[in-house]
Amino acid sequence: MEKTTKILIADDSSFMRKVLRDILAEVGFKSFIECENGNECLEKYKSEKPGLVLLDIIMPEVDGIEVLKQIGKEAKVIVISAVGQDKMIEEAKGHGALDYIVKPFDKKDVLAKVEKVS
Amino acid sequence: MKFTQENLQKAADIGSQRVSEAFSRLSSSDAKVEVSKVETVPLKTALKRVTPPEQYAVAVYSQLLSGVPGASVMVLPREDALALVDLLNKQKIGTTGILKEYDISAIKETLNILSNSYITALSQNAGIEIGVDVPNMISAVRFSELINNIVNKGADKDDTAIVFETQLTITQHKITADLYVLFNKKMVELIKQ
Repeated sequence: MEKTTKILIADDSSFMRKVLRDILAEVGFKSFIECENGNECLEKYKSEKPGLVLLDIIMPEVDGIEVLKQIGKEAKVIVISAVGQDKMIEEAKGHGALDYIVKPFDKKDVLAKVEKVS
Repeated sequence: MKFTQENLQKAADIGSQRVSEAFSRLSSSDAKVEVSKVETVPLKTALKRVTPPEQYAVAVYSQLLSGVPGASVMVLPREDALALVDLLNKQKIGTTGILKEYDISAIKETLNILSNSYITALSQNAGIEIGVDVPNMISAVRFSELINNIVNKGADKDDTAIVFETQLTITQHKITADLYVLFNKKMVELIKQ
């Protein structure tokens, strides 16, 4: 994936957004947009047109599954969530998620999966 | 699957192991399970059990999303919460003195991850679908009142509750956290169906 790619990080935890931003910044990604709920995620997706979305599932207002239903077919989305149940993973992928990372994650795993998306 | 005490304890042990692994990964330190148990107790006893003992303890809770009243709760002594924040931020222990918004986010996310690790294990071993809502941090003073309201939705005061308890320690830094997953009688009825 090009390091100039704009990445939208959608997670209600400011701590988790920073962790992900730091992991990706370390390998050269520079352009980040952040949001803390599904509504903001949909707004920012439309206005900023990111090349990649890192999406949490359980968020206030609108959750990640609802976001996927709206943008999953067109957007490149990797779900990064604490929810690790097979049913949720299948549902997310069914709505277009390219990959699913369960928290707590390994830094190398995040980088490998982001690089795989092209 | 028969939901005997033995099977529930097995699910609890697997859940605790998963939580320990998650806690180790989050904190980049070795986390050990000190206590792993599951009991069916009167609801009042359960609520008392999850109420933090210290006035300045940190309590984080999430409501369970399964259509059944329940909650996931993590309590830590305040000093341990500050030390945990330092570990999560890869700072020297003792750096954080006051919890700021970002630090609170780190603690809430810890509960989020630990709860889901435990719940995933429960779901897989007991065949129950359960989700965890967004976490909230609350003062110890208001905590028992709020948990009482959450767990009592639709339940009688004399109901029983199933309480899963895990106590974790990061030995190197002497950080202790207690994680509880609490269900009331309605959950028991669903399990037995």
